[in-house]
Amino acid sequence: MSMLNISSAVFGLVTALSVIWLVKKNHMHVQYTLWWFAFIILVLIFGLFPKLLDLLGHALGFVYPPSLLFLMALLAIFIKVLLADIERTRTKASFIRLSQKVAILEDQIRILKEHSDGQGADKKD
Amino acid sequence: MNKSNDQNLIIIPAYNESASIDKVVGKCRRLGYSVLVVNDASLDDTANIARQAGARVLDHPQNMGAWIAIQTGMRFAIRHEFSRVITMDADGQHDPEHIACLLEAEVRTGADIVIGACPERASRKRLFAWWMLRKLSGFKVQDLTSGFRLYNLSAVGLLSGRDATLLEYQDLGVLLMLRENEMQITETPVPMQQREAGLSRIFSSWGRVFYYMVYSLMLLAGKRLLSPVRKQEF
Repeated sequence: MSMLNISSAVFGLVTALSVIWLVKKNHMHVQYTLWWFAFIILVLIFGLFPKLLDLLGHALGFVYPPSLLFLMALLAIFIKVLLADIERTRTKASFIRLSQKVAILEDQIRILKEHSDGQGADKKD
Repeated sequence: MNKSNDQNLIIIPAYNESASIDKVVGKCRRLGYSVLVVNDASLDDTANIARQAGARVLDHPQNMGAWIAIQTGMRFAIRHEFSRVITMDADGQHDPEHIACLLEAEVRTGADIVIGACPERASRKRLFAWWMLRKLSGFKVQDLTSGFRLYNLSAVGLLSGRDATLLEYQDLGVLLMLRENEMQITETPVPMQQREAGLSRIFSSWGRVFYYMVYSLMLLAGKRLLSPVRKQEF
């Protein structure tokens, strides 16, 4: 086993355990971990079988196959950020609409209070 | 609010407008309109002053911008069964007397939205922005950023929805959404005052104008590049 094999196996293991720990501590939704595990699996595959990277790299026309790794890593991060922005947009809209609802409900409570106070005063009379 | 004979709701989004809100609300009330002030988490006494002047007031838990404040007002309008919404600014630019102009234009044209226009008030920055947006959007609206508008029930229903919550400004995005849904847009001239107090938020600096333009261009790109070409009616 080469240094690459060992270090990628260690990296994969450490990351996997970290992700599982984050889920356990409720710091991360299970649905997000799917992405991270896909990432870990790819790291393990290319770390344990570096020949695969060479094969793929040459097939795609890369003179220097390890740059394929960098490209894939960058693409993965790019897609992740995009998905995160999409979700954040959804969350923002939900938050705004919730705030609007709160404002409307608070007003209704105020009106109800005024009515009930009014009735209370009448009863006393 | 007396709902039996009043279908019209005036919505005034307000952020730190304690200097002018009582006059604006007071005048609307004297003319017999129902007034809703949406307090966008003002730091001053806007909400109390508005209430004392006779307005119903909704308080945003945090500052979310004028368009969101208007949308909150629209959601309120639907809940309380109003059938028409008139938006106006809190700073005294718009005279409640001219609400009648908007109402008259709606009756005359049957439009879903009536924009009260006053192109004469525009600064250079504002005129440039209007010109560019007109060219790119195909709208013939003269006063694109006027906050003095009338929306009928169909328009209010559409603009209360989740898609409209994602808009940042009430100007282009709202009009694009209305056009997309084949609603009629009409404009009517209305005199406007200089602001009594406060500054324009969009046109306060070239930086802000730049952001506004980029934002609007992005919106236009989304709507026009990826949609079938429609015959421009307005």
